[in-house]
Amino acid sequence: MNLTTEAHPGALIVRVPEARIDAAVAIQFKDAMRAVTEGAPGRVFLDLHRVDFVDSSGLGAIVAAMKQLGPERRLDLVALTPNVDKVFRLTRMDTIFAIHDDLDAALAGQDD
Amino acid sequence: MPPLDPNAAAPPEKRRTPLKLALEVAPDLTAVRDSVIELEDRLVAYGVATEAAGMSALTVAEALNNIVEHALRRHPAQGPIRVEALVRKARMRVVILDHGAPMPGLLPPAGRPLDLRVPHADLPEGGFGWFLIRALTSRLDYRRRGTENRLRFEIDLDAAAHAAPVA
Repeated sequence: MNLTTEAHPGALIVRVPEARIDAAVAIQFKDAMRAVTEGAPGRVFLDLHRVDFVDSSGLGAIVAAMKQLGPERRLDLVALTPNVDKVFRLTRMDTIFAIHDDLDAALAGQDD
Repeated sequence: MPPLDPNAAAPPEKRRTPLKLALEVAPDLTAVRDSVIELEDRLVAYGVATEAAGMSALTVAEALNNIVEHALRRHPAQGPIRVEALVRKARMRVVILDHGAPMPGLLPPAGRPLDLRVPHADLPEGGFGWFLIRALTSRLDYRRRGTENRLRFEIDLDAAAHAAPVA
């Protein structure tokens, strides 16, 4: 799975340019996240505005991506579409991740 | 008293006739994806609200992925999986048939909420699938008949659009 990245001071933005993080690509997603976040300092923002479908495997892969950052780094989520937001709320994973509506606001508030 | 107009409160024209769908799904995750996209597209074309169609597609995807990853994992030649759906008013009834291994104990998983009050390193990376299925369906029933698994459930399309966390 192709992910695009953008480095900011103290933060890395990772964008998912595909519409689905599902069982068919969950492992590729997790591996691609490891590759792009390795060695990156600071907080990682995962921009999901293009993603309209995340299933339980995709959700598990996002959790795995957070865990592989280690205890020192955070994975925040940005711009969840309505159905993706629902999956996070139903499973209460919205209590685990910081979720931002908008990337600019997330970056501006990253000293929180 | 004027005669009652039978169509006065009827839904839009294209929702008066029930929608019947049948899909044959090859036992691999990419075929599941394609089928789920087709299901969602046909629900939207029929007039189901986008969010309800999306959550319905998610539910069917979870059930199909489980069949591919468990029931048919060692027996892919025993595919395809058959999905039948009937949408009438605001309900979708779904039947999923496969010839893979039976569910353990002949019972569908309870899908209990996962414990998230753990250190981040111990957070679950799986086990959400049946929780989502249970949260988004009613009248779920599983039967093993001969070599066939038959999973049935219903989705309330109005509720699916506003699904809230289960207490």
